[in-house]
Amino acid sequence: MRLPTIAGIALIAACIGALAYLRDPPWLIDQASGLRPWQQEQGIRYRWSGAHASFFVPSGARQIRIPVATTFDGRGAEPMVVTFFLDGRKAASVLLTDDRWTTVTLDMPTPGSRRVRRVDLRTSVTREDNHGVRLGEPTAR
Amino acid sequence: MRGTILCRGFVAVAALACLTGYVYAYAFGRAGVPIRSDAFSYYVYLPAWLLYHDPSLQSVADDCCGGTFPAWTAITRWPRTHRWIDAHPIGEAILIAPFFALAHLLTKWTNLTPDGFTLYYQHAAGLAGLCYVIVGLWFLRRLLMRYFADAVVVGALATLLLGTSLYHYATFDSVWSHAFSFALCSALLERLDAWEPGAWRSEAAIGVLSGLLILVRHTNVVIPVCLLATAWRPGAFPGSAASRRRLTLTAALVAALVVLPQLWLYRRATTHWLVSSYGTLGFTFGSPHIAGVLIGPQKGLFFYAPVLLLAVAGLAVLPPRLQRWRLAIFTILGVHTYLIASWWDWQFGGSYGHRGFVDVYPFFAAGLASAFARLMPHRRISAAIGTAVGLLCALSLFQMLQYWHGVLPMSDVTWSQYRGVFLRTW
Repeated sequence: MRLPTIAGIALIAACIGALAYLRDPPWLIDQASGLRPWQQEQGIRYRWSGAHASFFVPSGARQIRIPVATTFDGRGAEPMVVTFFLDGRKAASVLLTDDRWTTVTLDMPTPGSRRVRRVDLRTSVTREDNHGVRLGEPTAR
Repeated sequence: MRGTILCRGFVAVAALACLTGYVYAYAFGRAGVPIRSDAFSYYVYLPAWLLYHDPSLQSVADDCCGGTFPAWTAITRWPRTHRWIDAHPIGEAILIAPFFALAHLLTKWTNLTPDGFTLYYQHAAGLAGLCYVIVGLWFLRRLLMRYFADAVVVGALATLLLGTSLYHYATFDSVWSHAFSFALCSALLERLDAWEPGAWRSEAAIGVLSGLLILVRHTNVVIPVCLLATAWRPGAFPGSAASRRRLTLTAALVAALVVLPQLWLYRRATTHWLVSSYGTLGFTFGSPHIAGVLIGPQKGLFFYAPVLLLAVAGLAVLPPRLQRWRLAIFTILGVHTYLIASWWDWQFGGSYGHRGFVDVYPFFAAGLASAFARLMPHRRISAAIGTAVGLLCALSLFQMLQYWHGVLPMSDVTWSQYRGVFLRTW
């Protein structure tokens, strides 16, 4: 076999291997977008989201519980609808009308072929400097 | 044969070197994400067009930023229409589009959020800039190989990559527009240099490259105008006046067609075909900072890339067939310098060296090769110059790493600050 042919076969094999790996990579659980760094206030650990944020949860869980809250003060006091999507499909929504913490429960579908599911959240409005909701630590059941 | 392998292998070695720098910059947290600062507004058209099908940019503003782009994006509302106007044009986004498409497919495959800003999109844009620098080097190599020995070509290109801020703009800040302008400028110079009468495809390609150059940075218009004007200098180009007229007209027509979508976007956002997308920010033509942009410690071109002084000397002694470009090159460099020096923020914000000049580095490559070719026969002088060039490349790379590690400030560097951090490690 000639060298270019061998190189071509190796390249195709590498691409197939990479695609197989990237379908469900182990690092996906640590990926997030639209979320600011973790902070802590009155014993609650949370991250601020923007208008749209995403993160990943284990697909083996039956339920995911996510604490959310936002501010109601001079920087913005309109009620906020927070909508959650699981792998792109609407899963739950909650209306926030005051600054108390509310827990949103996402019922997870039966586990698929991936180790994780993607959770996207979108807020109907944002507070100053693109602050959406405070997102507490999700817990899986 | 050995020389040919050296020359052919240079582009691959350069690609590997740039990839190493890119991985270092991003895997070790030296840079944030590739699409940041100015890069955001060059790139934002892609998610707007291809994901949201919304040329107004509002959908991206809603999704990423709560409906309003932050001030640092340089995307502002036009006063009368209240539509978004992006300070940066669409050319870079067009060039990144194939990489974006691949990133989108991979994003879907891995189930990341397909919003245009997650992991794969970020690095597709970052690697696009790197690839375009390599493409630019490939075109330059092709051009220089017509006139110089292989060792000279490799020496000139390696010096350009390592002795200037080109490496930085291929890696750390690869989504800034300069990598893309560099590639287009290299390709345009090479294609025009290779032009033969009657090659209509080549003429159309020259038009496309010219149009894209204008679309990446509008001030780049001076590059195709001056290079194409060379066709009208007596004896500079082969063929009859009719064939040169056809080249000029075809290139101008194709370039106009390429630029048209940008004008349509301006018209849509502002009701005007031609606007200053920077709003009230502009040029101070009466008080240009010529010394600041050329030799000052803040951002001086020759201060941070002194090897380019050799390139300027080399431009004065170009080989006969390349001499036809000399007037155009000096005109471009003169106008470009004046425009940069007259910009209200003549330092161009944070950058390693003066980033405004990266776009015209291809012209310096010809000068470097010419200087090396002249010096090569003189063994002692060439050894001394070679050593000096090697040391200056090492200094440039070291200072670049200082910049990456926050030792060298991003802008407003004073002479005393520079002396204070000179050769300081991190």
